[in-house]
Amino acid sequence: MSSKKIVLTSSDGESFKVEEVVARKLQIVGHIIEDDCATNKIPIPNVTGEILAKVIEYCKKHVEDDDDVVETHESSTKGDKTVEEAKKKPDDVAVPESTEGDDEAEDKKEKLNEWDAKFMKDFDIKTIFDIILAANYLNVQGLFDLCSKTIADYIKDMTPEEVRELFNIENDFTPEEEEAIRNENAWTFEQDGKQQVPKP
Amino acid sequence: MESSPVNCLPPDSLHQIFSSLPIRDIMICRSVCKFFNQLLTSQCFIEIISTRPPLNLLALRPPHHHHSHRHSGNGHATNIRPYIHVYDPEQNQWFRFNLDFLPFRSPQPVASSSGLIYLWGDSIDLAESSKSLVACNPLTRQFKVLPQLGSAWSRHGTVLVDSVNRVMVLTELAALYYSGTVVANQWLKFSSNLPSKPRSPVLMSSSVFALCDVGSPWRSQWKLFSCKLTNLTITHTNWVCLEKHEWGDIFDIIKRPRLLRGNGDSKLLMIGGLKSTFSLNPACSTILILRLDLESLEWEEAGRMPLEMYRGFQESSKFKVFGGGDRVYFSAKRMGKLAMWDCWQGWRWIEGVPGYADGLCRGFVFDAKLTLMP
Repeated sequence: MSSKKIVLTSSDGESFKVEEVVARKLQIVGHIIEDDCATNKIPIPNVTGEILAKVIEYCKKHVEDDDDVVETHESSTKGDKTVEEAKKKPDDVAVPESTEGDDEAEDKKEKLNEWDAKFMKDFDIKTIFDIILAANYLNVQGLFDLCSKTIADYIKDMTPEEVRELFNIENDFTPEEEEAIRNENAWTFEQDGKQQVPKP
Repeated sequence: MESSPVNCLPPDSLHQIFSSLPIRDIMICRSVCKFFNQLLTSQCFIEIISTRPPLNLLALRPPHHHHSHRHSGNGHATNIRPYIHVYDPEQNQWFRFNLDFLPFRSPQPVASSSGLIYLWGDSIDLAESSKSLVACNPLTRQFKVLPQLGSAWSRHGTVLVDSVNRVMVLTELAALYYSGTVVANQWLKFSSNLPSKPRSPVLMSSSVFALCDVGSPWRSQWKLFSCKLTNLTITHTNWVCLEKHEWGDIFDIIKRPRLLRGNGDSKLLMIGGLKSTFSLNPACSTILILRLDLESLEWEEAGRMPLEMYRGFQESSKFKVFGGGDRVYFSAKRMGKLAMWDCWQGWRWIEGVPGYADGLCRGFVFDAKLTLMP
């Protein structure tokens, strides 16, 4: 018997059929499912199809992360299914020795981090910001944190001009204002000794 | 023109992005545009990053000027832009803070605590010979002037500060004590019962620790003294000698010992040359760092300078020890670089020390953060 499917509909009418366990990674969706006040179709009015596809892709990959899922509460109407599903959970499988388990968990985490880096690699700033907005709205904390860190890593070691270019920001300081604020933060620009090696 | 996508993000998302950046990058971003400046100086953002660990830096004290600027009638002579050189051991980078926001000639930084640097500033009134001790944050460019003191205190006193911004100025004969909360805006004076001039006093855990030489003019005999600040009476500081039979000859193996605070609240470091013999003027085989646990009153060896590193210090007749916490720094005449001991990572050299003619610089730990002035 196949598990339950949820259909998520984006603001521009695109539909995504996903496993319920994946849909629960979107905590706002998880709460809707928990409240049992929805059919199998759940509209996501604030997120476009392009961005929702990315969020779902991330959630599928991170489906086994502990942090994001809304906790399941047993209800009388779903009791039988819950018991049946519990039997299939990997928790029932015999746990290997702790050292092996630790190595396995570590290796798995490293591969996830590699996947995350690859996932983020080709997005432009606009797309990352849209994903941040979506992750914030849908309450997908892991993806929100990943995108925030990616942006922060871009900003690190940049000059103000480079930050403006990155974000397409206009410099709206008057020359006097800019001089005053640079003077205030002069220590961040003045280097004693060796200059930093320029980044590739 | 299309507006920046950054304007579509809510403030809390932007705060999350910027709050993971190093302090330096946060401040660089303030000069990007008015929106960023507003965002990154807002009260709630300052509160978010105030819980973050500070930038653990080394601040250098400026070199001694051998003549007073006051003797020079030329106005241009006093226009030297004041600054303080700072080293970031994690980035292995030197930079400097301008102190030109302070209304003082020749500010002399001497100590730091809780994100603030304490420095001596000449009185603005040229006629007076008094000095003021100033607490300032070079990141936020805020400062607070403590009540004025006679110039003898700045010449002879050692400034001690601790985590609640208590300030002491300590000499052989007396101590001045200032707390922003108790007896507001006034220095309290206490006579001292120390047997001799306190050597490298340290203020931590509500106590002051210092070394005193209780020996003869021909042979030093060092003892460790401490004074609880909570035990201050109306007129004098009550120093007691800390000793234990098990310590044996711990003070005899170290030549010209110096104290620094260790990491945490209950560790004290003692640093000096390791005597190779017990003769009157012994040579030293290396530099030793000992650590005292103030709860158990037990000493242990914390670090020992590698021989190839010590060779440079051996040639110099004099060296300075400064820092504290996780790291200790060493300078020596004509050395041109610093040695650093990190309690986690051991020993290494620091290159690129800015302009000290004789190489014999001194400094103190500066945990920089965007603290608001108390």
